[in-house]
Amino acid sequence: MHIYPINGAARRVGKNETAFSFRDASFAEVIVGVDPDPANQERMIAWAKDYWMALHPYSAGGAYVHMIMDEGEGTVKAAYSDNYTRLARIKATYDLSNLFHTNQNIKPSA
Amino acid sequence: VIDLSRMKGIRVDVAARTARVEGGCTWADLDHATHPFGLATPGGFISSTGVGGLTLGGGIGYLSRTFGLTSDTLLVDMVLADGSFVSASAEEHADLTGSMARSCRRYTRRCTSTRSTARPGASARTRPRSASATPASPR
Repeated sequence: MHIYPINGAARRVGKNETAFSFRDASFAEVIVGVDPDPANQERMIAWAKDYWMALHPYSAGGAYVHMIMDEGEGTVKAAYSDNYTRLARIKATYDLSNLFHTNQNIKPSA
Repeated sequence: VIDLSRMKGIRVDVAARTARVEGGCTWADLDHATHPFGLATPGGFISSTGVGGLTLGGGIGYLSRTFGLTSDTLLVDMVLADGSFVSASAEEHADLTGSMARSCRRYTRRCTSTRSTARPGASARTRPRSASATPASPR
């Protein structure tokens, strides 16, 4: 498990000035379950999920978009927090057909 | 998928303290190009990460305490979904600029935000900061 600090200059930007919302979070965290033996796959997955569940009560409620996997639209929305609506509107202006969608996708919404 | 890995061009403007970085560049490439000038841009933690991708997601890294997120330093040229090319600035496409980007805010406060309209095909101009600046105290 890695934790990366979000502080100093990264905090001196308003949370709505850019797409990145969690300016006041203390850390971004990534949990990676790795084992050389494929037989341990399920155990590692369970370990990683349990770890996330145990820590989540202390979470700021979102995510760092680079550290999420295929977790669905809800997690993407959480990652952009209250910037999401504005970003979806801009996406609708510039990419209404959602051509660029193979990403942690912000769906166009006017 | 379009493979940009051969688009390795980087041009450092020492006077303006900016670097123009093509879509195939990794952080190792950019650091290698700016280091001789005593310049650096806040990147991530891993040198094999692509510059464009990391920037679009924010960019938390070793220099973030001192200089902010990667996206806080960004100036952008980009290809839009309709194939048109734009240079987003405080004057034009300010909504796009601010998205990825905050550096324009140093000149004006009109920037807002978006992401995912910029593509790796676009080159990114980042604003390297002086690596010799006194680090700010961690908060």
